[in-house]
Amino acid sequence: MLGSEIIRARVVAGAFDTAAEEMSATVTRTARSPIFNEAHDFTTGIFDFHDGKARLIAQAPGCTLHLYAICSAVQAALEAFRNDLHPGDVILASDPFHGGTHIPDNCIILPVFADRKPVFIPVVRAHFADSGGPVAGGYNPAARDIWQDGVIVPPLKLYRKGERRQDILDLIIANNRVEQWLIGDLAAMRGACLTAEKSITRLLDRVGLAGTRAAIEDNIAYVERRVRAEIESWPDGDYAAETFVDHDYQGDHDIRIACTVRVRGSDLTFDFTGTDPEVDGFVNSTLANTLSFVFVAIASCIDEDVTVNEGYIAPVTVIAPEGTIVNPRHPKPVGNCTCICGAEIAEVALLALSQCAPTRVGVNCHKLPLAYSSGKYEDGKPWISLNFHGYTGGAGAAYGTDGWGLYPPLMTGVILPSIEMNELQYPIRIERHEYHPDTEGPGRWRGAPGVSTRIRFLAPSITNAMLAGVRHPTKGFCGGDDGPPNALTLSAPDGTRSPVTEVAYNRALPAGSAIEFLRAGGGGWGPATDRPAGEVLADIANGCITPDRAALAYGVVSRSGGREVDEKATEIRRASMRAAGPSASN
Amino acid sequence: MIAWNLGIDVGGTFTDVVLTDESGERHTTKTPTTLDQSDGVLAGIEKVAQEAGATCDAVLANCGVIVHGTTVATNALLEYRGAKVGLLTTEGFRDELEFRRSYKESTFDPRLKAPHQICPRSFRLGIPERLTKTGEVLIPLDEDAVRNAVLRFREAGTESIAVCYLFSFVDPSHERRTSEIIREMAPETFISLSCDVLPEVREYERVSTTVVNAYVGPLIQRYVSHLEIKLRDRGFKGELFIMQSNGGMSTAAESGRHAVGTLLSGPAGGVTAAGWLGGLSGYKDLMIVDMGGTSCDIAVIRDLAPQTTTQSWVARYRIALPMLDIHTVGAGGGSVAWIDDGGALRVGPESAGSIPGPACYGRGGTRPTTTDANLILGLLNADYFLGGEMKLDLEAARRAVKSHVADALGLHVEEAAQAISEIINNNMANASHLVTTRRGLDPSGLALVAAGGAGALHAGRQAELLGMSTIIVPAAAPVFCALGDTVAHLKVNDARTYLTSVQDLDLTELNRLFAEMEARARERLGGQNVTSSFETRRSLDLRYVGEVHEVTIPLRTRTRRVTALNIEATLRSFHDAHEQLYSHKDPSHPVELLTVRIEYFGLRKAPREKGAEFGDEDPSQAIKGKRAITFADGRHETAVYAGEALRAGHFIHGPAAVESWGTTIMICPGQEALIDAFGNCIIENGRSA
Repeated sequence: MLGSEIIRARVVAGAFDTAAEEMSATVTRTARSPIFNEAHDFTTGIFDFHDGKARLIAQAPGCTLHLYAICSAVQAALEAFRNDLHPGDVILASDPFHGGTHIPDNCIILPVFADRKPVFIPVVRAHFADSGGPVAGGYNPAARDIWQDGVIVPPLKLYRKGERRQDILDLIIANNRVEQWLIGDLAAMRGACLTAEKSITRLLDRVGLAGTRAAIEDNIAYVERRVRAEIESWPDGDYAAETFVDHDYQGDHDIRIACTVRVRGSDLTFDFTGTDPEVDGFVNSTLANTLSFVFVAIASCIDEDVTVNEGYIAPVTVIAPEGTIVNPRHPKPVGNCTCICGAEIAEVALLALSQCAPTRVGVNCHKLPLAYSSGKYEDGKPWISLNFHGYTGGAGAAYGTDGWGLYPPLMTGVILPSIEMNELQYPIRIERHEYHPDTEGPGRWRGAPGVSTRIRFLAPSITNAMLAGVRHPTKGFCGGDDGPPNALTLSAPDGTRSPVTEVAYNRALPAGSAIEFLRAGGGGWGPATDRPAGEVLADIANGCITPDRAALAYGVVSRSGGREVDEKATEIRRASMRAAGPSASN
Repeated sequence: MIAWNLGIDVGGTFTDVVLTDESGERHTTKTPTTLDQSDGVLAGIEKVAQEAGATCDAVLANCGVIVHGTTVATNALLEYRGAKVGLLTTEGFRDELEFRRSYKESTFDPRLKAPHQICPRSFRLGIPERLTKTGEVLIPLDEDAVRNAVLRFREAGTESIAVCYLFSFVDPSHERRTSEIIREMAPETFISLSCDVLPEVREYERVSTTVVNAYVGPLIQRYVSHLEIKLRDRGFKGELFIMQSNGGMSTAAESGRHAVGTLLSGPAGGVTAAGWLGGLSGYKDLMIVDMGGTSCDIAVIRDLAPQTTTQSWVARYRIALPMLDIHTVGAGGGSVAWIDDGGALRVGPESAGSIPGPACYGRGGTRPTTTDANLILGLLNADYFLGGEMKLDLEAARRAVKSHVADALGLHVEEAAQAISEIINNNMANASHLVTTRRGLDPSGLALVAAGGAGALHAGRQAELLGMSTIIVPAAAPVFCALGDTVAHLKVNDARTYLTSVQDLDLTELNRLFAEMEARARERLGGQNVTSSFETRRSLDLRYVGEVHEVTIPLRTRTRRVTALNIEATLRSFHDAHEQLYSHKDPSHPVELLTVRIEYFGLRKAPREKGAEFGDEDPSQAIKGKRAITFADGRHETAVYAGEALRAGHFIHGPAAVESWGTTIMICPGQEALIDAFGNCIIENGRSA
């Protein structure tokens, strides 16, 4: 490369990365629904469009789970409007079987033109608070086909040549429970794309289309080299793992997901052959969703400064046999796939990778105790609360660090709403949101403790609650222990508590009822018997574990309420634990 | 008798001092920063007094005001050397500080470690108490639980206690009662209440800011009183003020109570100086780029008002007080150039620092840096670095660039140096762009103020990349922050959460809140004699119903009372600002108010400025030589001017270089520079990219 080409490549990469960041800032600050503007459940990206193919150039992830799906959804939408793209067009799409994940995740796509051709495509992909269908909030555990998941939006033009298509918008609005949010969110997404259009135009003025495209080729090749360099450092081989989905909310239990990672030089294959067939419940994962979770697993092994672009994707092959739970056929329901079985897909991929890249992977799983509620404000307007605080917890360990904070690292784009702000916006009161002792997955590095949350409803609500991670809780890695099971309990105004075992469907809760969540802690990394006794004592002092658990799970026997180590007893206990083999403590 | 005025800024390497008198005469100096910062401060005063032909004691005896920018709080937080803090929260919520609303600095990296806990879990205790969102008492304060907690903290040796209960911004009485109990039981304890530090909605932002205040408070109090005693011992009878993160100064006592407000005490001086300078030279909208050895600080001034933010993070802790919006990028003279495992040339964020420093410093550094590239390109003069106090080794620079960059990429050394230089310039330009567009601004409408040791070397190219037409290189660039200390006003910020839809806004309540905040602000600025001239600026944080982020909109009134008409005008500004920031507005959508704010200023008289008469345009008598310099568009035989020989009115055509002690100015080909009446170098740029 010439010096000027090296400079140009960095100039163009920096300009697109900055533009994607600017899109993200626009969405965060202008969207109306809390799921966008506080929870950041969206991703922005910019694609180049050449010979009918859209290739990812830059991405600013809010929620990493959109990582790959943004690519497949854009490609599907652009194919739908091949030769029918015009300046001022804005495309909306959410169809899971057109490159999507689940129906609530919508893309806004805006082609940017140069030389009268669409050349770049800024996109915002975001989770909408509602998507019509039988239940509010977009998660229908009773769904047995895709139409029961919600209202499907195939790629359609919301704006044509700059003009809003009011009839189309009216159709979308008519099928949505929260009009006031929907309109604002759509405007925010379009605003973000317009911001990007300005930045792209400025770059084209400066570098020209040919120069920009040449630089993009350089940058894609560069990212591919960096990803390949990491893969190449792993030993060649086949690494097999399996995990299980608790159930599909329709009576099917212990659904197997199998994954073999094959490392060959700098090529990486994830083969899901051996995975159980698709199921009747809404835990099937579309191919795009499966790929998103696989790439989330890969991304955790790659240095953070590598831009996610098309070059990231090139070295990776995913084999997901059609008709299995990781690549279901139309019209199977898929509404919960971004949680279950996405969680298990990332888990099994990471379990396999932990055998070839143990110091890179982190224990990661987001098997959530999910419950969302809806009701009416005093003025009759509807509210939908996803009860985000209840899902928090489960941060797993990695080589060199305990799990910490609320979510596992790969979910951390999601910023938790403020408790006070939530109480001001919804008829709820959050009564507890705190670490719960003895709920971490032990290990040389332990998971973060689980989080216990109680949310009380001051007005009547309809609540759907779905539990996962009970029969098959978060797994520990590299000899670390599993996390404990999650728990979900509905509590009546008189204090009567009824645990949810698998699902509570459209349950009418009177005012004064509460939901109690225990999201169990993250899994551990490495044997718990290797954790230095001093660190175990600090955990006792901090109230994260009790002295009993220290002895039982870590083999650290203590005196005087956990302030001193009984060296001798600890040595004996740890020796017998090591002899008994991994996970004998649980 | 001369009435002196001192501005003293403590930086990482140097303590800068500016001494002014009433006639506008200005003396400046630099002295090494010391471990106990007050030693360096005294040494600096000693040195600057000599410059002015006086003794230290004489200066101090006749000094009315000392304004001090200190990094005591910043360093304590960055190095985690603060006080031992105990925290009381509402029972059931003791971990919000650690949860951080789930924020992590890395999206994907599972190996990222947790932030150092400045208040570990065993020092965070839940207290049974709870208010509803309207301030009704749901659970009364359990005073025995408070007493038990204070006993535990005392046993554990905490110096400082922070208190942050849910909804205390609606009614602070539980926090106040808790404070009384602490005061009775442990009178020496530094107490930080969230209802004092940040009486606003959002518990995580509030608890983090309140705990940091408790963490740095005792250190600031000790430092300020220690410095004050030393100054008094030397005969100082005037008043000591501390520069605040909000760009104003505050009394020593107030700075101790509100220590979290001093976290940007150092860099705030530079932004303040830029605002003052802009007023003097007729530029109201500015971007300040302060480039030093390890990093580059970027800030924006609009209509002479430095932009502030409530979104800051310092040392991985969230500070939600209004602070100057200073964005830091890892781009400085010491930034290291390297080839990554994908074969790409990268510059920074790692810095060679001052030890070993760039390869050309000859202190053992072997890796190429921005400074090495600048030397190879001819931007720097090997024989005139720091006025010749330090000799640069060109061959070492070439060796470093050759072996680490040029050979790997198959480039000539000059080409590689050019690539390093362009990449650092683009990194800075991208960061600057993000800083402005996030606010809906276009950088091309701003004038670029270049400060810091390396600022003026890169500013010309920056202006081209950002399409900016004016660059200002201040005469006082080497002591810019201390200069800002001499011109800062007194300033306190206050805010109250008042959540209401704008159409239901109760003007009586609004005016009551403003009056209450003003009274408190007056109290906080009490006990000073510098000024009796005060000014209040009011603003409202507004958003469309449903949004969760607010836009702060100034509220302008002719009278003390806010009227319905004022609110209407503010609403119009809100819609426009919303469109400017986010590309859309919806005047039919209901707007809600979240927070009411004031900025309360005690206005100091501006120092008199003695401008020089413009002389001859021809600067040729100041030319000290010529050398080849490689600019972005290629190599040019370039005239080099001696900065000290330039006079007001001198007009220079680029390409040109101006060398002074501590700073070298690059005037790119096609640019034109004028020395103004105050010795500032104003460069006009006509090119973009």
